[in-house]
Amino acid sequence: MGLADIKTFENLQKDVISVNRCCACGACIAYCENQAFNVIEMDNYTPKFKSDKSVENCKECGYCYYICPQTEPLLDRLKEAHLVKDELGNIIDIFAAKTTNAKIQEVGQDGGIVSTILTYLFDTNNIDAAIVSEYDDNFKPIPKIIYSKDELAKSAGTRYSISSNILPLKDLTQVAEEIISHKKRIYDSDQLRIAFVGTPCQCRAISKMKLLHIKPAHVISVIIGLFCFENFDYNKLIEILKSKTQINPSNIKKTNIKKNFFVTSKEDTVKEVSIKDLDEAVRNHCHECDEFVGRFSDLSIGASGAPTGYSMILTRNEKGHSLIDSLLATGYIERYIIPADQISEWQPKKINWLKKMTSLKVKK
Amino acid sequence: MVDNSKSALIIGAGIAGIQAALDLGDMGIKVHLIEKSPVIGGKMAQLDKTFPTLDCSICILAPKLSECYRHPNISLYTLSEVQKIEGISGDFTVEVLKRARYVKEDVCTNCGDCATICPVRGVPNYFDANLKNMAAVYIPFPAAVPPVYIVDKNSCVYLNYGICGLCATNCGAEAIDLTQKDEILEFENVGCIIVAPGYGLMEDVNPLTKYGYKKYRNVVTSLEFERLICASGPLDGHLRRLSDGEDPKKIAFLQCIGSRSDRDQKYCSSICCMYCTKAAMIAYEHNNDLESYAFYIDMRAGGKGFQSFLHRGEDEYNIKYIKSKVSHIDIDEDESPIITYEDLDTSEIKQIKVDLAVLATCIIPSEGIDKLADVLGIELNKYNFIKTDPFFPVETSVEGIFTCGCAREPMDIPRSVAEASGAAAKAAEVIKGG
Amino acid sequence: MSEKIEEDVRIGVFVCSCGSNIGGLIDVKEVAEYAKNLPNVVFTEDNLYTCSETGLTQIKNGIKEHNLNRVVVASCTPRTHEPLFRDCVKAEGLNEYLFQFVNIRDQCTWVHMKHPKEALEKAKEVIRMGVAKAAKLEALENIVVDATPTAMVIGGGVAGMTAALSLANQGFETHLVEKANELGGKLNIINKLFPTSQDASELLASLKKRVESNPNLTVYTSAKVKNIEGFVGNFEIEVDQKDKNIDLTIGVIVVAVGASLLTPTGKFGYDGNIRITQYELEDKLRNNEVNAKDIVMIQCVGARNDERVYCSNVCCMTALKNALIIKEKNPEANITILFRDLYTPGTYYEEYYRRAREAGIVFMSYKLEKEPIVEENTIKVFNEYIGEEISISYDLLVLSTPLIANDDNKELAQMLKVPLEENKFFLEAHVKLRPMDFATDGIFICGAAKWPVDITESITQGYAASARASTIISHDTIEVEGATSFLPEYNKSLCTGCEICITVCPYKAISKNENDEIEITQVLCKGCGVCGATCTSHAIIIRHFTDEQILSEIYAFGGI
Repeated sequence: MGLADIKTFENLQKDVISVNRCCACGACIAYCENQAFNVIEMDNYTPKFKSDKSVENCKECGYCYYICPQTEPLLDRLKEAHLVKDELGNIIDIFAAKTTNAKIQEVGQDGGIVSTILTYLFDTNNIDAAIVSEYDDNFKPIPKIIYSKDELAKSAGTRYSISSNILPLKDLTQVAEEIISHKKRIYDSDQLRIAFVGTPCQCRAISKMKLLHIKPAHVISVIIGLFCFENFDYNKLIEILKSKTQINPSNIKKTNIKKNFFVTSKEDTVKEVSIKDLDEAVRNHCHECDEFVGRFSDLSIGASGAPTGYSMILTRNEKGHSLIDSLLATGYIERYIIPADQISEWQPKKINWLKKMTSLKVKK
Repeated sequence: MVDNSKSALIIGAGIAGIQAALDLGDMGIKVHLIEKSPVIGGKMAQLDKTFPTLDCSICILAPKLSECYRHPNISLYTLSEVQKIEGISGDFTVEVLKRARYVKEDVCTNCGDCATICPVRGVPNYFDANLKNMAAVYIPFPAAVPPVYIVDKNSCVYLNYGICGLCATNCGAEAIDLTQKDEILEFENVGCIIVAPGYGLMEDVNPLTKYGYKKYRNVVTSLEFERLICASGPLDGHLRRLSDGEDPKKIAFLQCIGSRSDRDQKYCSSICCMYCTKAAMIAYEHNNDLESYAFYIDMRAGGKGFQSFLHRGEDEYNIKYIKSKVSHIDIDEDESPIITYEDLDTSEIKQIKVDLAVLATCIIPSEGIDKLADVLGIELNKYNFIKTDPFFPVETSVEGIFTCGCAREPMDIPRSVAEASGAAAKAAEVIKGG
Repeated sequence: MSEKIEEDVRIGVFVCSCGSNIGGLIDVKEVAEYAKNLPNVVFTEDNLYTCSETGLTQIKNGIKEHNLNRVVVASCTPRTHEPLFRDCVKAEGLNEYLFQFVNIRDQCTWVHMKHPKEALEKAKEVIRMGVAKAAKLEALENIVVDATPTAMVIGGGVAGMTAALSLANQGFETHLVEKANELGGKLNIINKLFPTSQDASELLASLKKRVESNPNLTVYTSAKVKNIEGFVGNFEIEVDQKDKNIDLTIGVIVVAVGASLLTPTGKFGYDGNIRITQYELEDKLRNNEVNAKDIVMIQCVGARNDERVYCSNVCCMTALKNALIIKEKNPEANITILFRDLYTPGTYYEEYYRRAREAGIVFMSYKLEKEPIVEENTIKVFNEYIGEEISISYDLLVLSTPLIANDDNKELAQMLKVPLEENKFFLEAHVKLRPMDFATDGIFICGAAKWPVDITESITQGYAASARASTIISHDTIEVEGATSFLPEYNKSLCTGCEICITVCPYKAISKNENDEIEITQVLCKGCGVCGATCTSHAIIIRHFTDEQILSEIYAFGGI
């Protein structure tokens, strides 16, 4: 029995889950399981009560509802805290860059920036772990916590269906034990530092949790947001791809979008699928999303607007900005050199471009 | 006998305030003990051991805390601050703001279930010199008095956002009341006021960056060091470097940080010479391979048994005393501090690399003393400590208001305790003598 | 081991971790487990800090829930914590003498730090012994006596006068006894006071006036304490004033006899003429007799060395004060102060030091190993900065000597039955938390008699001693420990009248009454046990340490 007037999981089901607005980020479950309340779980990208008994056992604390990226109540305070005044959010600097690391260039998407940032953070011992997304053998994105840069290779590149990146935090205590046993420096699990990489909706959830200073998000030391136009439901996407390309999910080597959807098989056959054909597979919540660049993060990274081989980087606060500065200073990444005649209009042009992309997404 | 109907009001429940309260209470005088923080005990509760006896600090303090709590003549008001006083010596009226604790003091059983279920993390624990974090509902240390939890109104999600309330709904004793409000208490017929707010920490107001504090992980202040070697502290008493968790084999104790200086405070912080030796001794007890270096300008050890204590440090605890002036601290690639100093015995500039550097920072007037002095109408001296005349040492500029301990000048525990009894005597003279 | 189960005895054992003091070396949970199986033990618990509010509540809950009628706490030392735990069990309705303290810290983990395994076994053993004794404990009553609301202050210097005035102002009849023929102590010698430079005579006059005009305060000058009988609340004191005997009944005593000056005979060429002490300088300054141009002062003369380890606190400030006085009168004077560590702690004193430096007084440090060499007109001192010896010419050499304990401290200490420490200053109950008390109830200490201190601290301590004394005589009665020695009726026939007990009792608590029977005055007895140990007929019994109780511990240890 909770205090009066607090919305609970049942409200969440009514307002978000049952009306297909859930983005399957995993935040509600990560929080609740971390508290060992043992009442909700993720079932095929849908959060639900574990059993009928669970409904009674629910503590009605309300966190699942309020940290859900799709609910209203905390949004105003969140915007205040992140200095969000428009659709692009607070921007300290905007520029394009690419990695200088050859190995990452090979496997990375576009500029390979995210992988490089994580490499740098591991190299300088600024993080103990990172939450990334890997593909399993059936091309299904699986969120994972990695503990060293050696594990980065499998997580490079874009994921083209939902990866519930917040979900691994539900087992934070086990994660913590593993790290602490190797790092004498850490005397308190609160000292863990984990980097988070996620889509705008996921970053929004993490940011809401950090606004409230609640676990398990207290160990997230840097939030790296990705640009996101839309995301697909795994099962539906695979069905459509199989029927259009005849490539089995276990045989997919690489996918990417450039106007249309391209699938490369392990035998290096490339098949093209029209974006319109994939409309059915788009997750419903994406239709209502108003975030393209992801405003509630320390920095946002994506391909849109960047020259080929580079990624766009938006730094949003002191933390994100000084992090990127360090990467530039140490040569982990290099800036895109704007041609002399384009310098003055380059940034405004890019900002307008991103705003256009955002409005396109909203109009959908 | 004499009429004891007038009460005494004591501001500050550190060791000085507690001693004064116990003395007055034992004399049969009613005492109102007002403390700003949620628990009593002050800085002494944070120490590991005390010089020169090497008594465990909380062990000798806890009985006094309990005595205060259970004394029939002492009423304890925590989370409370004096807002206004009126009247004159022998008849003051005092208005006190008692902030909401959000926990019912007479119901809480100190079980800690609330702190376990509270999801908030990262609230720095001042008691542990901010080296450890706690939830939004907490108790600063296990032996705390009153033995009651507190909800931190700045980090509590319910109080700020209207959601959660897990502590309240899961408290077995139903002790948590998130609707509690601050209240104003009025005390009449107060004969005397004793103001004993103790001291503040320089590191709270000054980044001390030339010594690397907050820049380098292996440079810590003396209070942080106390918490690190204390059994109830963040490391459970097993001292490790904060950068890599290794055991330090060489520790430097730098005295006169921020004191006796033209750049910072001109005065002498008085206790650092002794407590650096004490800290080195405790560290040596944990690790007999330890080499300690104490950097000092003048060794100040005038109290009872203090000189012998220093000799022991040199002879039995492997402490080398270096008469010097420290310039600054750098670090090497292992984050080990490198101290550059002038050796005053040879006039040479030298450097020494250690595993851990401890800064004995200057103690400064208590935070908020300006406001308190204003409220009470008492004068502060040019160092912002409470002004007293050397030959009327516990009297402030207002009749009937007395002071003692570090509120008026940096001093050690025996002197604070003696001064507290002294202030109690003056208060008793007013209350009993009429 | 034969188990003698006592009827109706229910023992609770509480094992304390004392943070890491105990728990860091031995496993207290294992110890508590072990205690569970001891005879008569019905409940055990381990705590992080048994003395904390939480721990005390656990004891009270244990008594309540398990109907305990004996409590054993295995933790630190009864010296500091016995009263706390006794009060705790008393609050729960259990007689406080049914509480047994077992020391597994000071006498176990602290002294066996390098042998944790053995320390664990020892802890178990001593708890086994304590539990066995606990089964034999009996309820005792404290002794209540009247408290006479009068005080005596011995010593009429600044500390003594302050303490006496404070007590008198609180309404207590106070007697101030001074052995010299006038009040003031060292204030009579001092010229000016630091750090304000006001005349000492002004302060003295003001104090004297207040002392002499206070209706509650009686002053006896040229008077010495001759004998002290009795105990807290009821001291019977004989004062001898110019061969007149005065008998007083006193509730509390404050010792404020101050300290003495050291004459540094044989050190640094001392001659009392141009090589003088700071105190001799005070006199000369007061009489305006200082005309020297080159003055050198040497600090730490006869202090901070093998002979006298301590620092006397006041000498550095005294030297600075006198140097400034000379300099102010004669700005051309060259003053050099040779020091080892300059003692000017705190705010005012450090400021004073700066003033002295700014006034042009030269400070040079020297080391104990290379003391200055005093010759006819020059002093040779080795200077570390230049690595050479410097010669300083002087026409006045002032030696800063420490305050030392009075010669008659021993006599007074014996009369009061209080201890002295190694430098012959009086030894207080606890250096940190009971600095003004003696371990002996009802007697308090302040000022330089305890340790060299300046006037400010003497005044503070005078007030402090008065507050401590007042906590006793503010009440009509005092409660005294019940664990005393006695001669029971049924043992009177065993007594042979040898009177050895009378001779050995350090507190003069035993006497023969008019029927020629041995009588032990309960309120004087401190329960030290010497009489019981020496009684050849085993007639005397020490309550709380009876033969049966002690033997039970020994048998428990031996496994009987």
